Amino acid sequence: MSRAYRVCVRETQSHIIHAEDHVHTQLEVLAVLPPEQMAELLAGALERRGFQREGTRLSRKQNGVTIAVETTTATVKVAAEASEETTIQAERSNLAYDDAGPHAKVVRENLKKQLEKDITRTVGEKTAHLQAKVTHHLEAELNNVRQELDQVVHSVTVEALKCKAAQMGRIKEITEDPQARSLTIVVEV
Amino acid sequence: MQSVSRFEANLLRLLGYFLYREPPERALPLLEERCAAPPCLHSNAVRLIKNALAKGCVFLLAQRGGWRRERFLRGSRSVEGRLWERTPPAELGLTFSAHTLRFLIWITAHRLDDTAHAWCAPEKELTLGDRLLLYFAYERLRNGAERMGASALRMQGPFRHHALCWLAFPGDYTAMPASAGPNFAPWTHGAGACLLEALQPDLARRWIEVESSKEGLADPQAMRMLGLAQEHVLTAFLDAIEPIGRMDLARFLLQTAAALLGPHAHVGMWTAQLNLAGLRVADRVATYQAATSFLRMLDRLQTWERRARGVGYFDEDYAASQLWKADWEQAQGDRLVDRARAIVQQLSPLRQA
Repeated sequence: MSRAYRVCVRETQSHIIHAEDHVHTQLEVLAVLPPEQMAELLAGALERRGFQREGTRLSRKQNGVTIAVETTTATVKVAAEASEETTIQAERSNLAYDDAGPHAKVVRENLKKQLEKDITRTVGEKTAHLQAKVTHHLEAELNNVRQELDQVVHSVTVEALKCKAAQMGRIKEITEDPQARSLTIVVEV
Repeated sequence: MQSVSRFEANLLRLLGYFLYREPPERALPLLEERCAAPPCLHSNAVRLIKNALAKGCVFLLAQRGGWRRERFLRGSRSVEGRLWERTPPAELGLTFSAHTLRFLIWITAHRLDDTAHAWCAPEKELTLGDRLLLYFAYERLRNGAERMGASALRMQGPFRHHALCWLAFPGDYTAMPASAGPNFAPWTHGAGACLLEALQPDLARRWIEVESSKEGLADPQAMRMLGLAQEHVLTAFLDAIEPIGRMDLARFLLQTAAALLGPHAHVGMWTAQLNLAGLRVADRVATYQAATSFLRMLDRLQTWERRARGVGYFDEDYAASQLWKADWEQAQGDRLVDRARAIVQQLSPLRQA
């Protein structure tokens, strides 16, 4: 009667997993003034809200989300990313007819291949989990970003209208109703 | 009574099928059969082929839209009437080269998916008549013989760049490599542009079908590929007609928009069944953009209309501008664009948040 030997293979691997998500969109800035002036007004409004200027591009990072605005084209990129170092341990065992002979070697090789697959699958699952977290985080932040960008566009439009009115004549009166988001400018031409 | 061989009879039957003169049940079995090609065709058969091409193509063009009294550009003025009234029939003549005959012999002798004996013809040697027959043949085969290898046909040389096939069936070209773009040059000048005029109702019907099919599309990847193919072909088409001032050839796009963007048009008509669960926001946005590729393209047509408003009577492209303005007004273009923008806006990532 032959004896069976248990062959056990363990493997530990470290992986850095990375996930990112982003959104591109366009700000609806009315062309009240020439494009260069509108871009400058937009840049100014963003700077007042803590955006850092790099040429025509302004960006700010908050709560793990980066908002980048290209002022010449009024395009916005909102991006979130995360990295995580993870250690994955896996173990598999099977029976062999010998202890260190040819069958044990074959079994060990097969177990190693299975372990590789297990680890790859686990890495995939962890990446998907991290990706879902990043996406969820970005979605949650988009609401705040939208409100903030709406306010930016509104203030840029108001500034542009004031400039335009000043170019047309002497401004006699400006009435602004923040609740109704309306602006009345009386100009003497 | 003219007698022909078995092979020639099969060939004539297939040609009749492509020209809508034979029903599918009589022609499709022939695509399954392999019939060895003879060294040459009998003069009787050649005469019958010529006759079928001459009558069949003209009949189809007239039936598809050539009969309609429409207004299109002819040089620096717009002309109203049926196709043969807008252009003298002598100038509408189609020429068929030996490639048409070779194609018919090939399709009679080989299966559509026979890659070992694939049919090939140099793109530059094809005449307008060849291209038109290929269009009708492809239309019939994709509808009737998709499972017999019609999909393999579009991967073959002349079909890869066949602009009319691209334009009528963008959904069939989703798997094309980036290098295989449509070649619109033959369809924007002379008789080629006349054929495009005659096929306007066809193209409008096809685009309405494609856009309507999006409502039932669940796979985001399929939607992205369809949207990319649509964007690819429309960009190439509009780029081809804009510099030569033939905006009137894009009339079918306005007709499509008018049919789709009624007062009750809503975002669900493009995205109702899309399964976006588990997708990244970036992928969702890309899918929505693909779903609305046609709607976003309307902005470009509006730009043409705005530019046309500034063209004066003594300007060179006055007639083209007036015609486009008339088309735009008839389709109520501004209203359509407003509705299209509202739908695109609803799918904007920052609007949905």
